[in-house]
Amino acid sequence: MTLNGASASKLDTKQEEREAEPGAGTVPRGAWSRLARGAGPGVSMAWPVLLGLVILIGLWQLIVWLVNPDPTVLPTPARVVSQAWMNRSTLWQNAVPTIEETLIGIAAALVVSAVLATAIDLSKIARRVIYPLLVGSQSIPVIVIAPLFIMWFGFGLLPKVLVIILVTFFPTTVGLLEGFNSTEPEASNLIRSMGGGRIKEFVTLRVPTALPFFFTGLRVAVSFAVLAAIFGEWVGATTGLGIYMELEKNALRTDLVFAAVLVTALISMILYSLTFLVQRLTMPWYHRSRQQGRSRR
Amino acid sequence: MTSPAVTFKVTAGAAIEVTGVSKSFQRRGEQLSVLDRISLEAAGGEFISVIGPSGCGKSTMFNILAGLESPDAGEIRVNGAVATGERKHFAYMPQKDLLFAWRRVIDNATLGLEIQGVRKKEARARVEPLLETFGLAGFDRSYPFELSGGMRQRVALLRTIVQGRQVVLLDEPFGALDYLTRTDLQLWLASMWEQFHWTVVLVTHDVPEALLLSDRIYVLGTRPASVRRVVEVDLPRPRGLECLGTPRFAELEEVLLSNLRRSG
Repeated sequence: MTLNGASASKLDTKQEEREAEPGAGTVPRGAWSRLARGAGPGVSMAWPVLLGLVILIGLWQLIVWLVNPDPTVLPTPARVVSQAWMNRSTLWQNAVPTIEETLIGIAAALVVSAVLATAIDLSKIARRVIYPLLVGSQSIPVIVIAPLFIMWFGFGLLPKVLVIILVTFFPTTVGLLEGFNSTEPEASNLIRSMGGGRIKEFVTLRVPTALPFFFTGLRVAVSFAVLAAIFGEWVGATTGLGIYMELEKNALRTDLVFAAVLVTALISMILYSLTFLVQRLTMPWYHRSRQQGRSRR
Repeated sequence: MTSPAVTFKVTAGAAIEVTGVSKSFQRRGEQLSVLDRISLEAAGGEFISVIGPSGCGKSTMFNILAGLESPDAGEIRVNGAVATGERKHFAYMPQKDLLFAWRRVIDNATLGLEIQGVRKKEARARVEPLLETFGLAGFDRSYPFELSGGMRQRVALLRTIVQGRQVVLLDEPFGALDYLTRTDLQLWLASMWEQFHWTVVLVTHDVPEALLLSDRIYVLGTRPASVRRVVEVDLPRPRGLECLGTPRFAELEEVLLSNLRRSG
């Protein structure tokens, strides 16, 4: 991710390793959603996730034993966990603003993408005006723009939320647009034959059709959102996990940097799981029809 | 099926008259004539079929009847009044069932009423008494993926009927079903029509289906589609399975098939 470019190279590699962690967990894709539900059969699906974690931590411990690096370069996982526990209140104090920024940022990004996608879908002119800008916005280097946001809007909430919007509104907007376009033309004709206009077609047909696509986009957005919040803090903040990592890195407390990364990963995973929960609540038919398909196979 | 059945008997059953409808499209600079002076008519409560080879422009004709496209020439009258391009007279049942996966059976059935602006509660109240007649009792809370192909088609027909429009357009409604289910539904539709006497225009290329259901059959030729032959179906009603084996049925079937092949 471009977001990490400015940070120290060692942290970079570690962050990537951490990013791989939720990936390892999603090997059976439904596992997270089942974990989120805490349902009985979900427990049996949780073991591959734990296995992945154990292997990853085992490798890490092995490297430390073999290379025996200075703890400021690479601490043991045990040290990271124990230090995380000892500093839990500081970590929590810094996690709260990060979580707040992330949630507000995602909410704002959702509003932005809903408005843009609706405008693009309903109006040809809007499509011509907005679509190129939309794609162009994704070539803005966040690394360059984030410090400018700080310069313009100060150290408060706003610049972080703007960074999150910039990073996350694209996948949800594209998801919605793809979803709208997947509407069957025959179904549109049916609504029209019933006397429905563009708006009724949009509300009763196009929006529900787009939902599965939207949630795919949302999952991508959510996994970027926490990173975007961290980066927004990294370039300038008074509290938050981003600035905490920066300070601890400068103090050569690599173990605490890792501890903060651990918390970040946890937040990401929880948010990611929540998208499945929300999807199940919004689209009960979708989950059940897919389950039925699975059991038939 | 007391009061709602009566309501639908009253609202349905308008006479329609299609006169000289023509339509052509521009395709890569070429003028492509699809419909050539098509004329059809159905008295109130009559069941007519339009039968023709695949790709003869039946869908275009349906879109024109449903008011989704406008004809280059010709007009459509409903109960004597010009209704060309109007959408309020015809209820349209497309080839695919097009049930919305996110709506339960009852809400799929009320879709047309909701689009017309009827409140959800009232729409449900209008549909509920018909569920049993349509063989859907106890399934109103099910999602479409839980239904068999035949049931999905019955929901689609219910969704069409409850709109209370004067004429029902059926576009190869059973084309995607297996033979047994299709036959079942054809016989069921025949009995439903005996009960309600809607005015129906059915498009199909299933000859026995057209014979079983129709009062009159229009045979179309290939592009540009024009009416090649009109066959009055004088088989006695009510028609059931036994009707398929009668000599008159076989005779009419042969007439239709030979006309279809000649025009194809």
